[in-house]
Amino acid sequence: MSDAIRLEADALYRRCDPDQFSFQSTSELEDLDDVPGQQRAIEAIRFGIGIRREGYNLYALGVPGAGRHALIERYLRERAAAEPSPPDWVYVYNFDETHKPRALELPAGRGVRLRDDMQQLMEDLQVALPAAFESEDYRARRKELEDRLEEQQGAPLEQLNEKAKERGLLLIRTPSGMAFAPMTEEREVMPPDEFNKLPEDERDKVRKDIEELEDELEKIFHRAPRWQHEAQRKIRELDREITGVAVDNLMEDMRKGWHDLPAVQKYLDAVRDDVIENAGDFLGGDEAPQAMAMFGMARQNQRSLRRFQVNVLVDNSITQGAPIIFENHASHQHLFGRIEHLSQMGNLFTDFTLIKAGALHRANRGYLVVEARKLLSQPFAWESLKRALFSSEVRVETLEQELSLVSTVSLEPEALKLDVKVILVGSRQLYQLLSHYDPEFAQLFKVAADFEENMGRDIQSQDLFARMIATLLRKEQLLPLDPEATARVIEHSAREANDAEKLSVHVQSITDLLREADFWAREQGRGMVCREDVQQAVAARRYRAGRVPEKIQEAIQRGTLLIATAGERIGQVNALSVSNDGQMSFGHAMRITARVRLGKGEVKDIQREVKLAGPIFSKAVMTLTGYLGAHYAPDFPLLVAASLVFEQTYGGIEGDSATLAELIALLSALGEVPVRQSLAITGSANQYGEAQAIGGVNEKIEGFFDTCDERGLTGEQGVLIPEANIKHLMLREDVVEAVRAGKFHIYAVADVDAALSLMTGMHAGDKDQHGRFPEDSVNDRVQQRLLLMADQTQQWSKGASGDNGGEA
Amino acid sequence: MSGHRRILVALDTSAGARAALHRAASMARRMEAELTGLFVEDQNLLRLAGLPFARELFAGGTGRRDLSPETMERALANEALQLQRELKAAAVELDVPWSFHTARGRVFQELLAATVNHELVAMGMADARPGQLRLGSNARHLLAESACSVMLIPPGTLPTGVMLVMFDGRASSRAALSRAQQMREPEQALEILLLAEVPGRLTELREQASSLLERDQAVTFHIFTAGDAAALVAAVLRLAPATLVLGELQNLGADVLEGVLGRLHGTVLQVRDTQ
Repeated sequence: MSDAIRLEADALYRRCDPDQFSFQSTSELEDLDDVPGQQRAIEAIRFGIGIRREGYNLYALGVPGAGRHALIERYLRERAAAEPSPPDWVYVYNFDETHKPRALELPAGRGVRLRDDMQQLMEDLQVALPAAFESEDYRARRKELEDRLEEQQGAPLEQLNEKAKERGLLLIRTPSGMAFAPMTEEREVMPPDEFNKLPEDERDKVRKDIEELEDELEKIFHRAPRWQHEAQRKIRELDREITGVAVDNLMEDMRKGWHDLPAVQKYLDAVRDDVIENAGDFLGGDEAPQAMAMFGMARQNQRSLRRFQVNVLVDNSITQGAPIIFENHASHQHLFGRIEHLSQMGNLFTDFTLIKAGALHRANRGYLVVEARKLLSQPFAWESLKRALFSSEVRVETLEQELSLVSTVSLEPEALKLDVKVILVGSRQLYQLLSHYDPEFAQLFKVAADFEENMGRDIQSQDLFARMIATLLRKEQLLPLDPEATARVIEHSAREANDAEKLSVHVQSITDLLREADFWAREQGRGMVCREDVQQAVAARRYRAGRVPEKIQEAIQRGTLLIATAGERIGQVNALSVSNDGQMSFGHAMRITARVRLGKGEVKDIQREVKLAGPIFSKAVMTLTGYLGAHYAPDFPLLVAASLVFEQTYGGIEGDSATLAELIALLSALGEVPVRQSLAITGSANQYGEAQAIGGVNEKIEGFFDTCDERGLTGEQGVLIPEANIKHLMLREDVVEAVRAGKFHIYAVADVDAALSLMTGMHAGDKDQHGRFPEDSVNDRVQQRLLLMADQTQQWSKGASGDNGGEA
Repeated sequence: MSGHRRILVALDTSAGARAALHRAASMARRMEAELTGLFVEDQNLLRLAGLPFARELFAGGTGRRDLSPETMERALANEALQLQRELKAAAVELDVPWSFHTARGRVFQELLAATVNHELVAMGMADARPGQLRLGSNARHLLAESACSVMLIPPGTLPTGVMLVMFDGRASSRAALSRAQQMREPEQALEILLLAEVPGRLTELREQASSLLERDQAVTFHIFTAGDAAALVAAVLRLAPATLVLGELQNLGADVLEGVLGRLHGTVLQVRDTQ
């Protein structure tokens, strides 16, 4: 058994010596390129963004505020600047399959140029084509064709009409066609009664003549459609020729600017063909030649000229180097783009001009940085992103299409070839979950940049830390710090790390502290932040967040929460717990009580029984039973029933840091040895009774100190902690000073016996070779009590058995 | 007279007649006139249908059909109904008062009879084609005998472009100039062709014409001083007016009238001074 070590004040807070700094002001220090302590993450980032292989995307894991974004951005910008600018992407009309817009890849800056060129071409065509169709040349040639048709149709009719007249017949138009009839001298149709009076041979001749003429008329009628068809064909050819000349003239110069891009040349060919086939679209209805209407080229058949527009999906005309896109709203449509609709006459309408780019389009040939949590919380975004990365294609698809919620024909834009490096920024927990539950995650995100939360603390690292402080100050435009203030910030970082030998590199927290210290320095009219300002910032922050701990301390002082800080009690121990109300962590004392009676060797923890305890807590209680049996009753049955209670707790409890306290309470109850209430204890224990480190040691000590301080420090009060926690001590200044003055004590214990001795004031007692303890030691009392309980149980069992046998 | 108050339009199913209907409706709205539609059931068709071997050949060459008085009556009644609907639609669209009448007999006679109490009769005309007489007998009769002004409208012409008035200083041409200003579409440019027998009359004619113009009326003058009928026809065709306005034949002679009407792709308005 070892004794408890009473810790000196200097062991409770590791100061940073300001004399180690050679500067008078942090403004003298050079900027630090990287956050110190993140070398592993930096190497991973460099590797991840450097390797251009499939699946080598990056996941930056760490706590929020660790500077992940800043570091990633810095290295991305460094690399992206040296990479070539990405191309532009445009969507154009697909003249072959209208619902499948074509994607064209163009050199950076030429997307807008193509759009402007096409717009200019359309404007020019709307002037040039009407002018061409209004020209004398066109009119004359067209009239010639139409006149020829008229002649073809009219001349035979005229001849037939003349022939009919010679035979005394009249060719007249009827509602549906034409007919022959005998005529009078007044060139009117002969009335039927007059005709009937004619001699029969004359009537027969008329009938015969009419039949003959009808045959001829029918032949003329049969030939007419062929003439019309031929005329229409010639007129169409003429229209095409006129349009072709106008289009070619206008496109000649434009084409020269695109000779280096076969895809654009092909598109322009399709545009030319479409314009020639649909020249009527460019002619105002009123101005359209009458004959144009005849042949279906008038206004009513105009199709929208929107099809000649160019939708510049991604314009990289001003992009320098590879693009870096930080997408804060990682929804499906923000990542993959969307297809918008317009309302026309109550109907929704869309076309390729309404396709909008997503972050993946903008980040193509570059980098996309997304918050993992936001991405995963957006429906279908994660699945779609994986699919895009696997296929190396990005396709604009609405969620409705993805889910087949709409069956109407919509657009199916051509997919773009995707070459992007995705950087997910997220927590460790998400990384673990994705690794375990999504087999594709590991295939796509092969590089993990693991951000440290702490760094080692020594003279060199403190120097580096000072430079980081200087860098942050300059970035935030804050007042510089003197060496004392710098040292205080470093000490605070150690406290934030909950470790005297570590420094927290949580950039956000450090920056916040610097901002707040800057505020207090300015309040004092200082041009440089001194130690008092940092101290004030820390104290003010603690005060602002101190409502809940204050209420707990108040409840203790008023006797609402029963915590004794003096006297002795059997089976009652001051344990320590740490809580977090969202703003800060704080500790406070809790009373643990133990009661024992005959039983079957069970230690029941009431919290566990009512399911107010977590699994680690339950494990600790079971460990107690193991220790109890092995340590005190290796060769006789452990026939005790013990109950342990965390008094006045109303919520769940988790963790094993109260194991030592529970054990002390239990042993006190078994040995009927009183425990000093002026002491509190925290620490875990294993089955061999060794004290094990716990978390939140500083907050726990400070919590009990506050309770004692309120009541008045007696010099008897103190806290027992595991020896393994000594290195974590970075206690508040008032606690340290109280210890220095001998008003409060911190003890480090290596095992249960050391704690038992100190807390009971009796020697715990070492076990001899026979497994027995020295007489009147605490352990002996416990063992004797257990033996007695075993014996009593045996006696009771025999009695009960005998009674039963008697009855039998 | 402030303008035509009743406009008669001769209706049939030809493209020219339909163009006439729409032009007449538009004019009636602008002049706040009533539109009267007249469909004449041609007695020639009724006679034809009564003949024992009456038969019509369909225009598309798709066959023949025997005719009877009943089928002809029915066809004409249907035609009348359809034309009445078209008249109503055109009038209602422009909020013009309208009425529809049918008559039976010789077309030009019925038309002439109906022109009484009307200020203007609008009639469709076949489009200008070479080698064809464009003026049918009905149009010719109307121009010669109508008691009111006559407007002949070929299909496919628009109520825009230049309105050209032929002005020789006579009463009928003065009336024509006045009426032209009333009937002109808002966007239609007005031009005047001064017909002077001798050049010395040009100034006088121009002053006369100018005095008849409304205030701020922009106008372009053209002159024709000498030449035969062919030269005059050529001069008119060169100016290619969308609407040609002339007085009562203006002593032009049949050659000029036939020449112009036969080749001009536009509307012809003959104004008859009814004052």
